[in-house]
Amino acid sequence: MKWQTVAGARAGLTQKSFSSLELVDFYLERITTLDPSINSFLLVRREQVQEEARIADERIQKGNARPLEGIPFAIKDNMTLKGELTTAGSNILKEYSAVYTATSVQRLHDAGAIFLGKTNMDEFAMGSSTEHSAFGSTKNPHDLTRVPGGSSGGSAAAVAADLCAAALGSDTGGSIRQPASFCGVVGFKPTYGRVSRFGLIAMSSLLDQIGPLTKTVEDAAIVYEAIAGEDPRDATSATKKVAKSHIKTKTFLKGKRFGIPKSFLGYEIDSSVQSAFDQAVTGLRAAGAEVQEVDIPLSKYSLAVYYVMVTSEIASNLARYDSIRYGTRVAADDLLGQYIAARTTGFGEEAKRRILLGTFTLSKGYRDKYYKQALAVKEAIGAQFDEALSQVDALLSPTSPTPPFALGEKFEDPLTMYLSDLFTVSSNIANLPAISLPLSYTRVPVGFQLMGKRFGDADLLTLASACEDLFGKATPAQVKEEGKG
Amino acid sequence: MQFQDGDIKKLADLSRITLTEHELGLFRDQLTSVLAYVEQIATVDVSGVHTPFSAEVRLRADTPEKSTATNKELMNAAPHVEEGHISVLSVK
Repeated sequence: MKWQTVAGARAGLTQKSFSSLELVDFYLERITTLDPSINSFLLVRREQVQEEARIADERIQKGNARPLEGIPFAIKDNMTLKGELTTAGSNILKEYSAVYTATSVQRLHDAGAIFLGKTNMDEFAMGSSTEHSAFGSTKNPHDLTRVPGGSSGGSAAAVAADLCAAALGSDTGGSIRQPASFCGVVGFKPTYGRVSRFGLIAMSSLLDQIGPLTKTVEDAAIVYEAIAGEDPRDATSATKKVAKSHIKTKTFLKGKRFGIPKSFLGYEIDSSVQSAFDQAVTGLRAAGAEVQEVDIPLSKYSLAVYYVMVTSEIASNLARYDSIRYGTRVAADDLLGQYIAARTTGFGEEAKRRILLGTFTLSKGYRDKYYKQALAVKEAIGAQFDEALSQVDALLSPTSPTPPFALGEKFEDPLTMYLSDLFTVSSNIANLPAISLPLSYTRVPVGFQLMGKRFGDADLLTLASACEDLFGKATPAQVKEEGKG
Repeated sequence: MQFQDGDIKKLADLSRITLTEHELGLFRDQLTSVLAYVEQIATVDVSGVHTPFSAEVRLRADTPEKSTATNKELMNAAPHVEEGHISVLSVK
């Protein structure tokens, strides 16, 4: 039963090697034993998921199985599931029970998937370590003294520790790919507009995107194809048809062209990450691929553009939290006092920091200098990436400049924490699909990132499957149980 | 730009947040440092760059459709309800 992929679970269930209920019980047992040390789940739906598994088993018995019938998923806690708590890792939503289901979650449900629960995250997806959750940090299952990355750290840790078959995350500046890299699993951020955000609690409306965290590229493609496509409830969802990807072996890499952005070479990169990345590039060349440097000079401004955009859009998107229509009422003397009390006690430090900066960058006299300029630079960066991607099949970089850092190490200095998104933010700024693959030969998890052409999601997944064949597949974390050293 | 305590207090007021003395000093220094980092975007020449919004926004047809949540479910989400209305404190 161990380390079931989505594809493997589907085969096992169809061939009746095991039942959905057996698979669910396997995960529930592991969650009981291991998650007290990891803290990847904020909510475990024990009885509900067992009941969903029994219904799925009946459908399988009757030959009515849908593509993801009875396969247990975990959902990042900023996506709604009707009737369940949806906290987004924040105290201000600690009692919020969702009144509707997110489109991406609904599409998994309609394909037969069942849900083990909701996973931990940095508050409102603001962070790169999952230390900014109101409900405690998540630990990296490969090394419990280290962070799992963030903000989808709970989803990445749950997949790496084999507590679910696969998970959904969201990515605004690297929040799927960086935790995938830190936890040694696959993380895919589709092109902006490819997956509906209806039911995703908004952080940065021009950048947020939902995607899968999985054990293999094949699974990433299966989940992506289940959730992608136009949604009338999200006016920013793209109308283009969703193309299908194909699973390839390393021979597919012969003659493929890859580019490494020159500006990325100037960044400070940890030596363990650099040597793992160099080894991967050597492997690609040996497989017949061509790897060259490409010039995208404006890409160095991506992180600065990102922090102006996200803080501005956070100040705007989080203005709705006043604990009047939903949320937790805090005692006060009058209406204004009520707003202030709810927001002061409800938001954590990182949320407050970003709200304040965003309030500044949107204020009179500064809006043009910061927000409007950031949007213009974003367009210019996108154009340069398009130009570079017209010369190559994909762009390459490490996913994160460092391996997983120690809990608390970067907590006190926000700018250092922000710098861990250096390689991932560009694809959000340029609206490109990007995927992080684990380099299985490293001692600590290191991720390898491929960025593809806008709406070239299927081609990127196809290429990533060939790279995965070359680099080796993700392996499960060997988690030490609480109290057993 | 160097933020002063008064600047941070004003931003907190606008954001409907009260800060402790510790937070005030912390955010004053941290926001100054983050703003210094993002200032670099001012050096990019964006003359000739068009389309500030990447997303193509479209409207749906103005026809009624089934809501994702009932009135009752929405009202149940509110922390204080009186006689079918969401109740709030008075404005002073």
